[in-house]
Amino acid sequence: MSECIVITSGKGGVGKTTTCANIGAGLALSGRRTVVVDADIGLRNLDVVMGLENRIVYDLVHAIEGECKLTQALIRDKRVEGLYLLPAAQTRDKNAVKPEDMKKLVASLKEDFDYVLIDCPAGIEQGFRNSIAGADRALLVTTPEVSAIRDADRIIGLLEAHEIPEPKLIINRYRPGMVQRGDMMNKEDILEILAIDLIGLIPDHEDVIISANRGLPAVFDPRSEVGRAFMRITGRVQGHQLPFPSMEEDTTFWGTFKRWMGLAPLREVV
Amino acid sequence: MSLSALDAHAPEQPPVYREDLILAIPADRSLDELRSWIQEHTAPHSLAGRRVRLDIGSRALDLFEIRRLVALLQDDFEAENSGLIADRHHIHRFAERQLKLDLYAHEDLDDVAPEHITSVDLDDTLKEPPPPAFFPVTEDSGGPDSDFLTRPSPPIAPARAEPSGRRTMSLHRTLRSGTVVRFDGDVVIFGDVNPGAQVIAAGNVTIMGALKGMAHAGATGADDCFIFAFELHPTQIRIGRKIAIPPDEGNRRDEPEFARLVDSQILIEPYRARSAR
Repeated sequence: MSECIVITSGKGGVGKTTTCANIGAGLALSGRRTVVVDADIGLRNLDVVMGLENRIVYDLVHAIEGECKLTQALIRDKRVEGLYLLPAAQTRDKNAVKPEDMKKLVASLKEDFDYVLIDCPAGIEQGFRNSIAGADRALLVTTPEVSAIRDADRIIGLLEAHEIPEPKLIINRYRPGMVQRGDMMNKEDILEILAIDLIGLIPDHEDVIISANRGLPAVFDPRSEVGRAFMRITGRVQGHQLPFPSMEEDTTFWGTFKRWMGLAPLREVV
Repeated sequence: MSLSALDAHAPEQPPVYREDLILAIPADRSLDELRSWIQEHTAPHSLAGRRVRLDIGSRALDLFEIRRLVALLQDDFEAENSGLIADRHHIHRFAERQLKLDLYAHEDLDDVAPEHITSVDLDDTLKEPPPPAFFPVTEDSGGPDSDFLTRPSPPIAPARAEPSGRRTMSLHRTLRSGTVVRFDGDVVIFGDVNPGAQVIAAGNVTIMGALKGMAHAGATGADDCFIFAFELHPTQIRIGRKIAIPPDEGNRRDEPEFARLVDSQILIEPYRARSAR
């Protein structure tokens, strides 16, 4: 049974695209045929983050407008079996696509793939409506900031109005050290405000920026803490019950020293 | 009141067009007030199902504004927008902005010396994207021409006579992401082409700057076109019906280079003035 999952946030810059690239790659690594769809028409990024920008010939708008076959617009990621990208058009805008078009597109992708992931643009306008049109469920990305959480709350309401129930929450850029010092909202506070289930907690780490700049999702690196966090989300997306390691900073002298040396940024306590 | 043909209030006054109402928005009203203005001046539901032309007077055309007005007429008054009436020069400016090209109506051209503009009939009009017969991007990681920087270049064929009368467009700015330039002749750009921008020309593409986006020379199928740039680091280049991805960044050269088709392979080589060969 195939599923279409939209990855959304409302606020920009919280990590939707990175999340989409990583979960997409993670699902493919666990043997599921996966296509990631960039719905951010006019401001495409997913192709850059996945390092596939230079292979684009046709895009989503071409496929919808019938200028090419859907299979011609799909770009195969050579690093892992069963991972494909459907890039967005850069030279058009969000109004080039209508929600009904997206519904049809998703329906035909679902025939070929186990998972269709949609990278939703920021905002709640046409691009958002397009992205959620064909979605069966939603993953909501937020950061531990008041503004991002406010927007996430609005999105939960909009998703309910569009009959996409129970979005699952991903908290990104989580900094256990700051939480321990009381300088950052902890995950319990966030969950209390939003009142939805947590599906993943991604620590803030410079790996993410490096991997995005290299076009190599973090899940490809088993040593990356962020990559492992995304792999756990991937497991939970497929219905596995996985424990949440409680992330806390080692505040002993050696912990501080090792962190300073870049050896052990965080300790995972399962 | 410049409400020229709203039959709800002036039934004796025939509409200017038999089927279309013309809704002329007075110059002193802001477009934001359009909804309340229509409500003040028409009976409820009198616009429903009617074809309406919006006369925006001497206002400049703004894409988002117009889309909003059309949506307002449809959603709030159930009217069908059948057209827009605006000043000729605003329409002209709008088209130029949208196309990012200088536009000349035929009557404007009478002033220009005839040798500057030669009319050319191309067999095909430029189309985007390239026709499906295009060579697909091949699957090996280095792209179709992974060795194309190391291969010795074959002898250069003697210069062919340029087809006479091909037009050249020159642009004096940097093309940023999302910009597309299409032209049925040669294109010369004094500036850079950034990633995400596209230049699609029926003829040659010359970039007096860095090419970091996509360029397509010979987009109507001509195989004898070239792409030149001071720094040739494209996302992708297309010549005629071939597509190439440049090799990894390690092999980057910061010198003027040009790309052309040799034995149906895209070949990139350093540019040397013809006299130096």
